[in-house]
Amino acid sequence: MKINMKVLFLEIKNFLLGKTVLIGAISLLLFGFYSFYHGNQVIDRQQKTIAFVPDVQKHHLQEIARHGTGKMVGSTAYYPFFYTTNPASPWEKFSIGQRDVNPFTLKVKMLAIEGQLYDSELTNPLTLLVGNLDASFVFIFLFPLLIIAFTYNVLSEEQENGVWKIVRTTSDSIGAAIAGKLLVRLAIILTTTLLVFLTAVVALQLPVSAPTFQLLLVVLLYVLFWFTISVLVIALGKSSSFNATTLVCIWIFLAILFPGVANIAVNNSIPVPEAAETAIRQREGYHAKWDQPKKPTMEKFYAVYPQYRKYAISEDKYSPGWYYAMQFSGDLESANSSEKLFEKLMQRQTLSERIARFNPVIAAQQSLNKVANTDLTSHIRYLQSVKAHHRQIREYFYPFIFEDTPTESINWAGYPAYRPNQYLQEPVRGGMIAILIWAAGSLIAAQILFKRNFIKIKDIQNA
Amino acid sequence: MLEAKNLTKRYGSHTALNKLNLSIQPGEIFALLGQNGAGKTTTINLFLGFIEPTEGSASINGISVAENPQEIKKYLAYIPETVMLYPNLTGLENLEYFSSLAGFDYSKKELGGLLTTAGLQAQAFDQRLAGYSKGMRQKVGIAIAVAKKAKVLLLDEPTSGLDPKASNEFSQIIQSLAANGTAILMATHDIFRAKEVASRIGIMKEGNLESVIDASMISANELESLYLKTV
Repeated sequence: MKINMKVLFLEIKNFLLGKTVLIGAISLLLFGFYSFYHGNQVIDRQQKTIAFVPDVQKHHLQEIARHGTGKMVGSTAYYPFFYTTNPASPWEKFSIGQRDVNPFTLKVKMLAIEGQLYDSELTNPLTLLVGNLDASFVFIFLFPLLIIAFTYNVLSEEQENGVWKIVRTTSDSIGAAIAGKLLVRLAIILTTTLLVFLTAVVALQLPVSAPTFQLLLVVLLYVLFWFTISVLVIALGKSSSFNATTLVCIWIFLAILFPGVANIAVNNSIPVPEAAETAIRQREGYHAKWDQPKKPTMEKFYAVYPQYRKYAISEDKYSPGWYYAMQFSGDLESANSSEKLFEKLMQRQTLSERIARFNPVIAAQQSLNKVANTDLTSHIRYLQSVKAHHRQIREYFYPFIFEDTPTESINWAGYPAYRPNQYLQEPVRGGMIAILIWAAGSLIAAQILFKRNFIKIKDIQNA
Repeated sequence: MLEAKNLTKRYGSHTALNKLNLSIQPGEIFALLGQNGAGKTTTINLFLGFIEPTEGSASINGISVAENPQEIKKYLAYIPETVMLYPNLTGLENLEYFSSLAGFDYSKKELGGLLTTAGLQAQAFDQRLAGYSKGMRQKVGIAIAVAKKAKVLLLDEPTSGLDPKASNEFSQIIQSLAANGTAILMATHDIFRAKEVASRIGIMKEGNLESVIDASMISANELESLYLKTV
């Protein structure tokens, strides 16, 4: 099967001079530009807010210390908020994922932590349905449509207008003629992909490093997958309108219907009532403590922090030491369901990754979100870092509370600083392999169909 | 060069072509006359390998079409009723495309020469095909056949819809191709054109080749009355 360069060149010329190409490419570029603007805007706004945080924190603590002058640390410590931030990775502009839904800054008090974490419900681990019009949306949702528009009539149109008869009787090898036509389309699709991606790299200032190349690789594989799906449908040898309808149906199924159903399935098979339950338990645990004897509460606290046993806690009088011990034991009582919550969320993530093996659209979206650190796992890591920070704060202030230190004699900003999570390179190989297998599978099936429907003699009306 | 042996094509209970026996020599032009549905196009499609025979065989240059659908393409060229080519390319580019597809490598000058031979005016060479008339497209179709050095030319009502001048030019060109040794099978409705161009004429009815006449032995009027009597 030999493909002639002159033929390819003229094929490209004929294709590029068609109207579909120009309209398709231009509208895609426009969407692309908007998505870059949108991604920049969403993330820039978040980054600006994050940039304010240190200043706000500083002034807030100064204010608290000023108001508390003359009182003990134990009573002042009730008031301050401690801020944490989840700064965006450089790739989040490309794939915003759940960052617009999940909080990117959280402020916590020294009180029980569990009720303070779950500002939003963590129930959409697949990030499936249409969210932001970011660069990943353009690649995941719009590129397939461009591929469909470029390829659906590659052979059927020629059959319908009669050129195919001349091609069939003239060509040395029908296989080579078909391959040439498909290769030209593939080359133009890949060029468009690279062009839009390159613009994304420039517009979103993506660093030229491994994660950017991972994004590119995922996008290229994904585009290749849709091309092979198109080729598979073309190989059926049906009419242009059949091809277009079938391909759009496949697109609706894979990109909209399947993820929606999968989302419901995941939520139903791994229910997560624990977000609400954890908050309720913690509140109940805390409220009940007011009316209970103080000793059992203190014992729970001493079990973790035995060094404070030496400070006397009055049984019939309010004391700050008891108050914070009570807050802490509220957390202890909800710790179990809190752990279960994180565990269930991770189970959801695992299940949705398993489902993604059957749908390259989900696999691609998950991979992009992983690279950008905008998936559920990343958010859970953030919540865990907030919890760890909360502990550091408590442990910094406990000695002052139990010692009955005056507010003005301690450094309110002296607690260990919050360290945002570093970028984590999550493995995306699984998703990429899934996409590759689907692409290879449909290519093999297409080859068999081409042999049956185009190469061999077949009684068709518009042969 | 072209041979049909008991060539039969049935669609269910309908017989489109019934036991056709036919042999066309190099340099010969064979014209098939007949009403719509008489089996002319079926015959041509069987020789092209577009459809599979139910019985019998069609062969080109001694090679069975049904068994070697790809190989026989080397020898044949085909001009349908309407030659459709790539509208975004010029006439010259279309010729370049199809001759390259057939495995030939012509220079621009040679391609221009081929178009001139086919009777296309030089100023049309670099115009997009979308603006071509039917006759002009037909000429590019001939140029493609010539460029391919086809030994067999299959024509399916090639002159229908052409004006008399274009039709006449077309006839002259295929006659000169036959003179160079090409075997030509042509389906047509045009009795007078058939008489003028062909060496032999076959009249078909309901899938049967009813009669075969030597074109030099019959006048156009006699041919017409024979035709009307047959169908």
